[in-house]
Amino acid sequence: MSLLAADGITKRFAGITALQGVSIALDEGERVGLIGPNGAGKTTLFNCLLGLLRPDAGSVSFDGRDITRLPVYRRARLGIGRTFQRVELFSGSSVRDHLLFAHRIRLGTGALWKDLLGLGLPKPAEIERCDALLESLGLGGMGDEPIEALSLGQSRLVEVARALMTQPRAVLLDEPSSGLDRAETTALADTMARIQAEQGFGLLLVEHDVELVATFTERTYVLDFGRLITHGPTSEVMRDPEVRAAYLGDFAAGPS
Amino acid sequence: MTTSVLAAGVLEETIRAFFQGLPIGAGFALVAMSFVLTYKTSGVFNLAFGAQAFISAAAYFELHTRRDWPIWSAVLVAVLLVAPVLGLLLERLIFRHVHAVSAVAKLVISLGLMVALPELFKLAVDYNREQPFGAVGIIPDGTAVYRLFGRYPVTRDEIAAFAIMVAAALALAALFRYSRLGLRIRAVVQSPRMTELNGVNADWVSSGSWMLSSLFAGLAGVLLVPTTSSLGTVLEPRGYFPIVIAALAAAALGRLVSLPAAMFGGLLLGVVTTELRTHLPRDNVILNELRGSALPYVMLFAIIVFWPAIRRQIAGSDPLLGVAPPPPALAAANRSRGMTVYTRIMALAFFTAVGIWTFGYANNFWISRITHSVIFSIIFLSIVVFTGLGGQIALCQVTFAAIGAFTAMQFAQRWDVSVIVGMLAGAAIAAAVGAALSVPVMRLGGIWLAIATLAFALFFHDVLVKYGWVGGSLFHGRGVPRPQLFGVDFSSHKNFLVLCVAVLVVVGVLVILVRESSTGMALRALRGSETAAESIGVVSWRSRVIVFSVSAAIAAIGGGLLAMEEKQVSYEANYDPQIGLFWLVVVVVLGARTVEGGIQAGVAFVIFPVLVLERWLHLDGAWRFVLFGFAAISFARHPEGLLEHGKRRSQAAMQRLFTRRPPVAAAAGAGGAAGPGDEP
Ligand SMILES: Nc1ncnc2c1ncn2[C@@H]1O[C@H](COP(=O)(O)OP(=O)(O)OP(=O)(O)O)[C@@H](O)[C@H]1O
Ligand SMILES: [Mg+2]
Repeated sequence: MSLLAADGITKRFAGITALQGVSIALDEGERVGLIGPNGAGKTTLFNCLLGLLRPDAGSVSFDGRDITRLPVYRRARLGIGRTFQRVELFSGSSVRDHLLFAHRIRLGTGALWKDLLGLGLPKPAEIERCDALLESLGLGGMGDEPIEALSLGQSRLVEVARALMTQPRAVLLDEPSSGLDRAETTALADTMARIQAEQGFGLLLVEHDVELVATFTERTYVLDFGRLITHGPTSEVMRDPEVRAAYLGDFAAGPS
Repeated sequence: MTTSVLAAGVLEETIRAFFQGLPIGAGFALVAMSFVLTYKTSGVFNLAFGAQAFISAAAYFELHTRRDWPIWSAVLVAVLLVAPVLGLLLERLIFRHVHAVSAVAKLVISLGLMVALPELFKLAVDYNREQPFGAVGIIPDGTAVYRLFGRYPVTRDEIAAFAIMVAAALALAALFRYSRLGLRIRAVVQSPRMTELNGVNADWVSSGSWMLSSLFAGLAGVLLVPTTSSLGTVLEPRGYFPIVIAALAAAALGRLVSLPAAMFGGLLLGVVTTELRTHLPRDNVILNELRGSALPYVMLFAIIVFWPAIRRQIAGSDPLLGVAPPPPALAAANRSRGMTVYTRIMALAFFTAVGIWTFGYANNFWISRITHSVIFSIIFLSIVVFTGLGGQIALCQVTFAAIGAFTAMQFAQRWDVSVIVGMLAGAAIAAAVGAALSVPVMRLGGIWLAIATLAFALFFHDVLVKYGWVGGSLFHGRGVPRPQLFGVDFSSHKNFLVLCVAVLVVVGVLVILVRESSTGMALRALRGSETAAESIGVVSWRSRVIVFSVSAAIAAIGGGLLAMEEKQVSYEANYDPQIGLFWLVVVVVLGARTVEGGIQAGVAFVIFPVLVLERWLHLDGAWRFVLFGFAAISFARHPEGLLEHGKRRSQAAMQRLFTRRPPVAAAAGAGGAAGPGDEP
């Protein structure tokens, strides 16, 4: 039984079928890639997994439980963390705040009466935890920066950190490397690998950076026009001629 | 035999009500179409149409009944000239420049206009508000009665209202079908972003639709005067609230996007209103109240909460949303630490000086003004909590304040319990009412939330206050004593001021605690990005219900204190929903994000009209509505408030001067739909 599984997901938008009977599965401790050309439906699949979109058909399960009809926050509290392709940060808050919010909400200990008695203020230990994670992502010392002052690459790292602070069991990353340079990408991959080794979550990675997918993931799914065209161990998938035609060749010729 | 006679009587009443409902519905339909036109072409939910309807109507009566202009020329000027020009001005000078801001920010601007425009008009034409205007329609001999089918009485005015609405709707349809402007408006109405991307010149489209919709609103304003009783005998902007609310309900039936639905919705609601008035049993007190002006509020509330299309609209999003340009970066996104220290020192100095003056030298008038400032600061902290912290607009804070005041009064009058206990009980009741009210509407958020809370405030005002168990009986009066607490007598002005200051300090500290703790964290996350907040597990509606209740309780505490200060509940002077709109405007203009901003708003609300306007500038106090109302436009660019913005700017300038290094805070990045200062 997989940790997170989508079964026969179909999603239509006015006129377009963005996903057509797509099934994928992710296990704990596993690293899985999800690739496909622009508009293939990768982000749509993420949104269906996390509940931002309701699929027209198919089901989503987490840890053996059907979560197709659960709202986003319930899924998040079950342990699905994600980042966004189009960065979604809390404008007006500092970098550390992002991590603090995630941590607090994960704990679920917030109650109004505690706040009113002054028991809900951030504790030094919490701040230390946040700063430690920032440090390990290479954002040490940036805790007090307003989020608007960050570069795109740094913003993506904050999103990753925020997702990790919820102590997820499944992490969904939507193109984390876009906006990062090669060194930063490698550093991110190393950090992710290390934190994953510690925490043991399953990791689903959407990426256009083929090299990252090839080196980082164990299995890969390939989407094209909303259909799953193949999947298997990453090294085999990368050799598949159909994949090369649909995606890699297209990509090598220059991303649209 | 008798039953069939009875049935025939009921049928006749029903048909009669139907014919009486159509002209009223025609007015609703016109305003509802105005809402749809501007909402779809410029994303503005223009609550100020009520104000615009009032202006056209008032201009008409000013010209026709007081200055004896002939009808045709008065209509020409008041409706065909004033209304479209006003619409054009609003679009060109204001709404065109705030295209990219959030729907809530646009709503705030329209609230400001709703407050400012009628007052500006009254000041400009020296409008006499006391004088009855005589409800004359725009056709001669309008009260003449015809009998449709020889049976059902309708007046010439009613026929005219209906006929003009039909003509206007047909003209609109023809315009859409045959003219270039109409085709473009229709394209934009169907898919605003799409047409923009395709390069349709959106300029004239939005000007054109603003002129059209203002014309419709003005027309409705004039036509409805003789046909609806809610306008009363003295023409005031307040009279248009029920009409605007009914029109909103009609527009909501078509999810604010369908013109035909808005039109038929308006007619339908007009007919439903008169039918219910005719058929609701007269012996039930509550149902009897519904017969009055309360019906539109109940309908709007029900439609917002239960109409499935609205829920679906909230779920489904615009496919091209990502194409919209990001909102402008804030000039100074965050407040620095140095600035916080500086503000605190300044505040300390200021309050010490004011304190010494108040307790040493001020006369009773000024002590009372200062006490009022303190109390309004407390009330405004409820807006800081919900709007500044929660990022949402609620328009019924005034109702919660009234609940606090009335509860304190009832406790003292009925059970001879300390007013302090009464005030706290009022806070608890307000919190409970807030929670009950918010559970159905909080999921909606944004403009729907604002409208639903306005409907509630108006319902309270028109219906609930009249009940003895809410508003007290005429027999007892609305007197409220000053409190005694732990053997200390707070009846003297100075002692009571000390008590109010103590309450303000406590409430201020609690607000800061909430903001910096778990509840506040969830709210700040939500305000930053609802999607991302939910993706880390924030339960948006629950957080909002909690903060709405807290805010209701704070408003009730302030309301209770206000009643004690004035030694009575001056309901009409202090707790009218229209004043509530002004409260919101003042707070968002000066700074809704900080406790300090709330206090500044409290001081400005009380002191500014007496000191600056009346004593220094010798102006009518009504100018405050105009000034603050128009200042609300600034909310689009400076959601942190004008004072806060000014302070950050000057601080940044100082810093540059001394360090020759740009401050980090000023280097705002791309994001920033809402950039707050999160220091006290
Ligand atoms: N909310 C929406 N409404 C309508 N169509 C949508 C919506 N979201 C996505 N689509 C469409 O669904 C298809 C799949 O989009 P999706 O964003 O999932 O692709 P993607 O694989 O993530 O692409 P990219 O690599 O560019 O991120 C596209 O054709 C897109 O235009
Ligand atoms: Mg994508």
